[in-house]
Amino acid sequence: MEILEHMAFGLKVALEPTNLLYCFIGVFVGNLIGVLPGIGPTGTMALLLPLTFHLSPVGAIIMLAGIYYGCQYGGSITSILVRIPGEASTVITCLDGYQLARKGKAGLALGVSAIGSFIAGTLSIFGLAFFSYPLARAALRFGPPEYFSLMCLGLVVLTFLARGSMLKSLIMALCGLFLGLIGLDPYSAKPRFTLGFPELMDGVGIIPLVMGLFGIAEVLSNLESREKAQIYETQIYGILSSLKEWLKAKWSILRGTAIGFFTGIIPGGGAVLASFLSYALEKKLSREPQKFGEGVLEGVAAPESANNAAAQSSLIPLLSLGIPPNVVMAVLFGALLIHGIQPGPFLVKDHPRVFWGLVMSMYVGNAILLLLNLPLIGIWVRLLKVPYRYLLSMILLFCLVGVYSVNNSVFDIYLMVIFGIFGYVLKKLDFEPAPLVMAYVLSPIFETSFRQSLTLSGGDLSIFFSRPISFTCLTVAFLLILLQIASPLLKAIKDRK
Amino acid sequence: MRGQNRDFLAGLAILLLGLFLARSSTKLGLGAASNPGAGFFAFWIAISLSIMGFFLSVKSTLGIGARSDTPYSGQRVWLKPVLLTVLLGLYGAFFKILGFPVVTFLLIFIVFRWFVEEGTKRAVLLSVSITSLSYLLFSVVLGLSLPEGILSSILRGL
Repeated sequence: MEILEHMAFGLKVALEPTNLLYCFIGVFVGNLIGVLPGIGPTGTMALLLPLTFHLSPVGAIIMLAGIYYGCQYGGSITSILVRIPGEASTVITCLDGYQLARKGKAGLALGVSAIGSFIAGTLSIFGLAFFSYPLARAALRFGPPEYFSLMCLGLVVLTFLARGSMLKSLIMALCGLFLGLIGLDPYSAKPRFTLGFPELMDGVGIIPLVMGLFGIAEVLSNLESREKAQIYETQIYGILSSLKEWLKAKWSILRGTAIGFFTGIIPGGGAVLASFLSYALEKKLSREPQKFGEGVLEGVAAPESANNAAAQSSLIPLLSLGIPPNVVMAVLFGALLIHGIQPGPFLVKDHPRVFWGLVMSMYVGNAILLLLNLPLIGIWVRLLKVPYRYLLSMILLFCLVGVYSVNNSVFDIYLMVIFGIFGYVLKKLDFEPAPLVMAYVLSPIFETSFRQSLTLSGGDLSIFFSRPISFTCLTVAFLLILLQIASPLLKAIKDRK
Repeated sequence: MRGQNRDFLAGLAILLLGLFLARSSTKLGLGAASNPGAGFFAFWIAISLSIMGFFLSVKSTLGIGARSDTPYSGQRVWLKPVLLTVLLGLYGAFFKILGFPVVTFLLIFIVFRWFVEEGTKRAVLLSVSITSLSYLLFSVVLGLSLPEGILSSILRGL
């Protein structure tokens, strides 16, 4: 009952005219960004972050979160209609969504995708409200060793699930941890690795870092690309199709929601993994798995529900433990800090307006998206015909102005360009930048909890193994690393035999 | 450059970077385990980084987890990214001297004319429109403090 009262309070906050407006702007921009390939939610949130400084913390966070889940809706439109995934989380939707469109069932695929996303979003919000609150209360009992071990596990799981090599992801995470240490030492106030620049005394800003790695690096990479998108012209009708078709997809939507919800909570999980897992499960459960990829409705319903559920549930570890499970949440973590709010167990208690307002704004946002998404499909498709080269100058401009406006500092522009080059090189070498950003965000808490634990134990490392939660987290982390090291070695030995 | 060779060099660079950072961390003071100094945590991260770099080099030498690379196209694909990076550096250098409207116009014009390969007239038109609209949005509507530079007297008179 207490939670329902809190939810009612959150709904009241979310329905305040200004917050409603920011929610609308957030989901609208998110939807737009989801449609456009090459611009992701991370970059967009970073671009718009400086513009939120003038807003109230609740409004700013509602708007930024709206961009993320709005993206999941928008990305599916292009996947279904033009086989260009606007977002990585909608890549799998291309397989059956586009085939359905080719069979003249684009409307049905879009309808199932939108309504499936709405159902998944709604159920996830309730899950978020019911899980976050008790989890935050439990986390209040966590001490520095538990926090340190939990973050170790989070980073290892993130690198384990990251795309590509785990070793490269671990390197990125270590680079992020190191970047987070630049600036004054929190205990002795000694400058660390500032290279004599007074601008670095406060550390490397999250905005130059994220804008460089995701905005500038993306622009630099796209300058190499000469590909032109082919737009498949199709008629869109039957969005609100027959009940029989809907009923066919109901279990897929529910299974997708469940997978998405739990995958979203896992560090490194998020919407991308959720969509792939749910598609694989649907294929496995299907009586006609061979038809997957040829235009099966379940192949759209499940991943679309899963990615939206994951987008919402990924807020659980951020809001209740203060640990962002993916890079988008890391940017949101940075945004909360900029607005003077520390994410973690105290958030619910100290800032109930922000917590419950955000949770319930997502319900409102999902409803807005459902109403907004379907009528705007025609406009979004036309927008896709705008060549990326025209968007390039706008992205550059937003990056430059956005990064400068934070501190009115040209130094930040240089810093962003340096991170842009770094991000471009990382892409060339197949290093994923997401673990770097997450580790960078966690670095100060990581170091503090490590040093506090050692001070508490008088330098005895067994403090991390003598507490049950800490021991469990570290054991799981160790096993995951071992598994990752052992599997390619065993494979190599097997191949040589 | 082949993928394995590239990974070997990347691993080597990370190994050396880690060692350099570890050495720099010791200068900050490691302290004791019971009272860690400013460089303690950084030192262990740098050492871990070196170890990972070493593993990456070894892994690429042994060919574990090697993947097929996209073939080298022979085109100078890196030229535009390098030129844009230089341009962004110059944008920063002249940002306060020439002011936001002038440097933005020049940047957008160069991007449209030489990167997007638009005609001169169209590039000028697009650059003027984008610069004016962005100045209106950022400076007038959102109230961001952007340097006006050499156009300050004209802009203040408007």
